[in-house]
Amino acid sequence: MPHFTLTYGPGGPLIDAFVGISEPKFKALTSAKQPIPPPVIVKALVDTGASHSAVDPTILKGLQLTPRRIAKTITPSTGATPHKCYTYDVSIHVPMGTATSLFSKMAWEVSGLDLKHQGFDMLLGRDILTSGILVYDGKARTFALAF
Amino acid sequence: MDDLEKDEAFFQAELPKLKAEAGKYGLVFEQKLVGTFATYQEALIKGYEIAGTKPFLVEQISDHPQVQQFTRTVGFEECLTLP
Repeated sequence: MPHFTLTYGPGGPLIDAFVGISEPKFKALTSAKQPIPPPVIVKALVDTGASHSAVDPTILKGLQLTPRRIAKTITPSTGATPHKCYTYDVSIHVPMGTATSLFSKMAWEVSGLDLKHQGFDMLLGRDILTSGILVYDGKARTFALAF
Repeated sequence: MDDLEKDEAFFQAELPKLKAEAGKYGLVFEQKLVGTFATYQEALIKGYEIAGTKPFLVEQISDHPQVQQFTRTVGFEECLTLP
């Protein structure tokens, strides 16, 4: 099972990930002979408090993505009435060294939420963590992820 | 109301008829249900095939209202205003 262990700092458990257009969109753009936006490396916070994964809109705009649906979203600031938020289809790749990856999702739904001001571009939520193992060692200030 | 909002409203109106297909993903294009698919990826493939770069909607069929929850405060600049 691919896994890695990293130390975490004041910002919490952060990892590098690549976010790009989804594989179906890649094929559609290739067929239409349109330019393919390259994947973007992002700083992702592993967040068990996020039911779904989310990406900052500046990243999504750079990939020239269009919304795929409208999701109801609750945060501490919304109270009980959900806000409506766009979702997008993307690919997500978490590298492990140069030749292997921790995991790859070729078509995954993420919400577009403003995150950058908090020091990261992406929330890696429970929709992805549900298929892996997360160990958070507070005493050693490390976390391990396995998929 | 833009095209995606129209497709979303159409999908929500169709949901009661789709209960038997809970768990699958519905594909809506120009306010018509194109079909239901076992996975998100399969629905996207068909969506891009028929719609190209035009807007289309893919959403999971569920008996229960699906609400995303974030315990962290996030910005909603990219989101719609209140329902």
